[in-house]
Amino acid sequence: MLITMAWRNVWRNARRSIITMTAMSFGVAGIVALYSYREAAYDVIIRDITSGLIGHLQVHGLGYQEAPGIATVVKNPVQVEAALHGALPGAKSERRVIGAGLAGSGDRSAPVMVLGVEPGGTTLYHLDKGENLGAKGTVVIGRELAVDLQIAPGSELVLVSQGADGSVANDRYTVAGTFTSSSAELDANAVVMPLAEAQSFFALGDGVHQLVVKLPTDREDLTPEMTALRSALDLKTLEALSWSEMLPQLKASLDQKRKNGAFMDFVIFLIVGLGVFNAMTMAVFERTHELGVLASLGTRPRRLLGMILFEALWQAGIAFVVGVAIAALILYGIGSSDLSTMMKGDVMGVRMPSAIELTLLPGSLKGAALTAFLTAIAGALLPAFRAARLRPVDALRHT
Amino acid sequence: MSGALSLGWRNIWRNRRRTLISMSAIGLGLLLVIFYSGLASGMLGDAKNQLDNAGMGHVELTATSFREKHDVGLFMPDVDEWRQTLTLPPGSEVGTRVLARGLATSARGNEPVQVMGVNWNDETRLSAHLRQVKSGALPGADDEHGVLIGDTLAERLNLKVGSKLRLMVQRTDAEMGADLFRVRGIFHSLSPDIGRRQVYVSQASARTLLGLESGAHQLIIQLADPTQSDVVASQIKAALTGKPIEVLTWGELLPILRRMEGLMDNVAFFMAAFVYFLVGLGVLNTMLMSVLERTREFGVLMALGTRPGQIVKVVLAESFWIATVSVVVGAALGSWLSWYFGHDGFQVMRGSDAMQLEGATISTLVKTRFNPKDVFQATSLVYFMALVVGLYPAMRITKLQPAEALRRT
Repeated sequence: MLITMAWRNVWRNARRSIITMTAMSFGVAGIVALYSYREAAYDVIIRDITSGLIGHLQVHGLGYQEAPGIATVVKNPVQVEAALHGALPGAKSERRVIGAGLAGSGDRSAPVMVLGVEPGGTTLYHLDKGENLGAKGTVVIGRELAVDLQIAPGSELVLVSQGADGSVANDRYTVAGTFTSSSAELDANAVVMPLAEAQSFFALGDGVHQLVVKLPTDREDLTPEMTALRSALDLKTLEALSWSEMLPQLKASLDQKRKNGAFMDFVIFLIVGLGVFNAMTMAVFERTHELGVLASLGTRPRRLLGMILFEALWQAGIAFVVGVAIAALILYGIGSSDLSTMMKGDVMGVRMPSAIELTLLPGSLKGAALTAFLTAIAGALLPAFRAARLRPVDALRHT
Repeated sequence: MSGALSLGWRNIWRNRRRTLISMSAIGLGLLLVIFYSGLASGMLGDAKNQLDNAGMGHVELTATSFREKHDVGLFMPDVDEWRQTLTLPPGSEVGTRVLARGLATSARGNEPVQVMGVNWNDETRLSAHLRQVKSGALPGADDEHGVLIGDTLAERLNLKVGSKLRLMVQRTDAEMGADLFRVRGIFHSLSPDIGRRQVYVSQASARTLLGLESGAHQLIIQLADPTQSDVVASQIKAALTGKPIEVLTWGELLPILRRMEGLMDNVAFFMAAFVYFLVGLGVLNTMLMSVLERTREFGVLMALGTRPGQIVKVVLAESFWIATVSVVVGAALGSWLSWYFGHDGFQVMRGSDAMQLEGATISTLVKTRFNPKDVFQATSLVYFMALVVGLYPAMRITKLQPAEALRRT
């Protein structure tokens, strides 16, 4: 009864209600569209990170993250991997060696990052030209590095560096192919070779610098996995870090943008709320007389209060549905977005994704619904209290 | 007109609370838009004006195609002679650098680095981080084996003041050149990239390391007024015609800053439009209400011979006054916020000192910039909105028949 009356009241001044609902629905649309866009972009960025150089989490020799010494290695990767798989069922791990060196070809040279990976099974890069790692003494290099050194597949490459034992590392390789990856830094600096060759180049024995772990999950928060893993590892010689611990800047920036988003939601809430407040105040004022009639017929103040609140809630409900529809129209209308033309190169360690599929994320609805209904309640509360507190005699005298 | 204005002013205070609520919505919107613009222009303005955070120039000279090829053989042999002949605006800072990409090696490991052979006096004025030496000091002028490194590199290679460091580069004769240096000082840079990659030695020892007799790879010019970059660049180009030298301005070196500027302007505009749209709908409701509840009163006025046009004027005057009071308060508060954070800065992102965007170093402690143009634009939008929301109710009144309006209660 109360709810039906509130519904009919919405349409007694249809124009006013429609204007209020338009403001609310655009507010909702803004919140939903911005949330969906932001989270879709984050998903792609995090997927790039977890499938690329960083992985979901990594195991290193103790102290490697702080100061990555060439001799700071995981000495017995086989046992550590076994412990890791025991603690994290379904996880995939990759052994990697990472060092720096000077690469020369003809009269060109460049400082490079030397990466030893397990051939096959790495999702680190996509072959651009030539062939993948295979034959002995071959390497693949980043596409920009190939341009920089002016070499093509088939050329020879000389690498110079220092091994873990302090000896001079110096070797000659054949470039099998070039690649692209999700990191501009890799494309511009990396020489990738089979793990065993990198281990012998840097005189590491069986040691590796990183065990890069991919988990069968897309969750952003990896606390349970980290806890399980840390209890399974010997933390006196090893360390385990999640991607957000390895890229604290990026994580901070994602969190900051979410916080800014929440602030924006609050501003929308405030501005729309002021509009709702004015509209509901007017609605109550206009109906003082009839509210007085209701009250003198024995309607409880609580029910009057409820009726006014429901009137606002009905409007919020309609505005929510319309707002979500507008947001869907915007998101699916745009379809996909390309951030890579905005920011070439890496931003805080990752390349901006080139294709973000825009969809309406269900996660956005919670915040939008909360904002819409809170706005309605906050805006209607004061007028509703006034309605409830009316003294029938005074109200009846009001024209 | 002044009659309409004073009538309008009195009318808006007839329902004081309603008017104040509308005003606070508009004022809040305006404040936000002004503060955001101040933040955006402060962020990019800092990056532009303080290229010395990254040790970059507003104008940079290199041998033609050195920037693409990174070939140490492409240098400017007689730069020290012709640099004296350049006429630059007063307050400009100038310095040359010998550059080489190489590998730094310590007992702990290897790191790729950029070796910068500099003149210590010039470089201290060009690069902010050379004024931020955390431990030790700058190597002396004739210190052939002294090197200054960043804190990140020091951490990664486990180096302290006094530690030994081997630098390996490719020489101009295509052979590998290497030499042993001693760390004299460790600097801190806003940019983690610089702290990790840049290694400073004296120009003389860089030349020896590279096998260079004279000259340098890069001439950096920082201007007191960055807007002069294009003018200065074209003067230099004219003065150096015939020499195989490339002259680039910061706009060409850091295209990201120009793109960001465009992006931020767009974002600011859309944000303003969205905020005012929401505010406008709320105010429209209030204006409609306040006009419609006075239907009878307007009917009386019209019956007494007031022209519909005069009533429109009064209603528009009301929305003008609402806009004006909101603008005065909102703009004052917005400008105050911009001024306040212009002094101490506003931390836009916790957890780091700076963001790296394609080589541009943008400090995350943004000193907002009060920009009269932004305030003017935001204010005009408010008046435009006020005109729209005032016009619609006013036009409804003009359609009234006085007799009918009088009959309404």
